[in-house]
Amino acid sequence: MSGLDHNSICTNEDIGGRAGWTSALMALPRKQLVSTVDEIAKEFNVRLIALPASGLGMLKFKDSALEQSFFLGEFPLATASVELTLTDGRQIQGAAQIMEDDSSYATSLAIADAVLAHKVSGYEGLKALVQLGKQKILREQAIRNSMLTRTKVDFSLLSMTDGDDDEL
Amino acid sequence: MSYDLLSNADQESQHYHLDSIWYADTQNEIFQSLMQAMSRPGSIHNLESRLGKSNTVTAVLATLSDAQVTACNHDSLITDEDWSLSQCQTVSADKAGYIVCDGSLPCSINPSQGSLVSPELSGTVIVSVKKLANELTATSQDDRLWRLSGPGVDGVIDVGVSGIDSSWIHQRENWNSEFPLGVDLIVVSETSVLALPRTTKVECLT
Repeated sequence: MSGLDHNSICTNEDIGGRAGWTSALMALPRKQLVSTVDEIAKEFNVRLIALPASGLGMLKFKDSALEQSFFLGEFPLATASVELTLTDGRQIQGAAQIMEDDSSYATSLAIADAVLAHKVSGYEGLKALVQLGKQKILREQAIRNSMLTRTKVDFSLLSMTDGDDDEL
Repeated sequence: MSYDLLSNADQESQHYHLDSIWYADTQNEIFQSLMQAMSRPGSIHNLESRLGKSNTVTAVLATLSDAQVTACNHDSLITDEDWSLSQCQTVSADKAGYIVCDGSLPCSINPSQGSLVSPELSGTVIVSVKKLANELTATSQDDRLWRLSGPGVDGVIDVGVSGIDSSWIHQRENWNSEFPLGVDLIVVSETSVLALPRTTKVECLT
């Protein structure tokens, strides 16, 4: 089996590290990804390694005063783990864990992950999507950064008027 | 993580084939049958219409298991693929919540019988046999006719079990000799299921 371990970090010179693929694909409209994966998946035999699951993850945290654990909150979580059998008999694996309440979407992303990690049929189409997604994330990040910059306050100006009230 | 099972509606537009036993609606139906079987020992419940391409042992395990459940695939009746989907934590038979065994082989396990404080923490054995019937004529040495009595049984009920080694009933007697400690059995054939809770008395007629 040529499958990668789910947790292994794989870097692709065209689209960067594996850890960033899923978030890049999720930045695009869901339909765009799902229809692409639907087409790609026709060429493979897809087997689930684990049942796709969706639900709530609980975020555990320690308070700083008493160092006691408490649940900070919950978040939607969906996971999927798949194995694709290629036409030549090779088997490859992919997985996805996303903050969405949709196991079907996670399965599509897991298939995309496997294809991207092993550069098999359908790779070029998904690579283009990842690059599009990354560009979209960068654009959004730039907008956020500019918004953040505008909220910055220069407190050094206050020191110039320091003590004025006392003089009055 | 708390999670939702796949519902049968999820079968639409999927990239993969997944047998019906892995979907919540089917598992609910099988669970109902198991509940009935446990509350009415000796009643045989046919699961054939819910199995898809899977076998009964896998269907029962799929229904009872999740990531919190400990289990032992003692005689490798469950395939690696199905075992992975069941999400069970694999442990040895003496620590497992569920132990899957081949009934045609002599009993070689020692499941947990729970404790006096928590008898419910005992193991439940899923035993695979060839056939279950309300009446069975013994034709081979592995064919048994059991007379059941106890809570949930109206008087007595006779059941025929084909393809089970005689050691299972003897071992069961030992496990259940100190009530409330004990072991519950779920006996599954190719299509049906029958339960023997620890409170059921079993008399071997053949």
